[in-house]
Amino acid sequence: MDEQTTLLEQIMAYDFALYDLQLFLDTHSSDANALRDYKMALEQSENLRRQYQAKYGPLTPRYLPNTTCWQWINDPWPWDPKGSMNNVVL
Amino acid sequence: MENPNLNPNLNPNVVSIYAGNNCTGEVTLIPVMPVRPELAQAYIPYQIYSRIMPAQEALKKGTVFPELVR
Repeated sequence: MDEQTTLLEQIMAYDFALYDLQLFLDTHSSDANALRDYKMALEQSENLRRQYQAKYGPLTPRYLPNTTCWQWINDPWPWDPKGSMNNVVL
Repeated sequence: MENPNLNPNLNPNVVSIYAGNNCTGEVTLIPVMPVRPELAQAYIPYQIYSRIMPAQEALKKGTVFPELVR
């Protein structure tokens, strides 16, 4: 698996863990251990996003790196790893 | 009258489980299960936090909680 896919999978895994912990905390809001683990997972998720976006571009349109270009529309899209221009005959 | 479900002498399942939000309101003691469960009532044991699995393993298994894996 390439590094990009590995990073994406890790982000998905931490975001899933965050959601599951959120459900637990909704009914156990005083649980300090759960809150501690939620904070740790949040930190991991944010670090991985930062790493991914610095290297492979935005995961959402809200990622605005220090450039003058709108990067959100850049190829490749996640479902089209080769880039859409490869499918266009000019 | 005291609720027997919340009396640790009568209900060993009470341990020290607190629900509610101790940041904004009153803390509530919740028993894992009632001391005398009644017939024809549905009960869900109150989950106690133990540990969570590594994120990648949790995604594969569908939960972060080892006690919920089937």
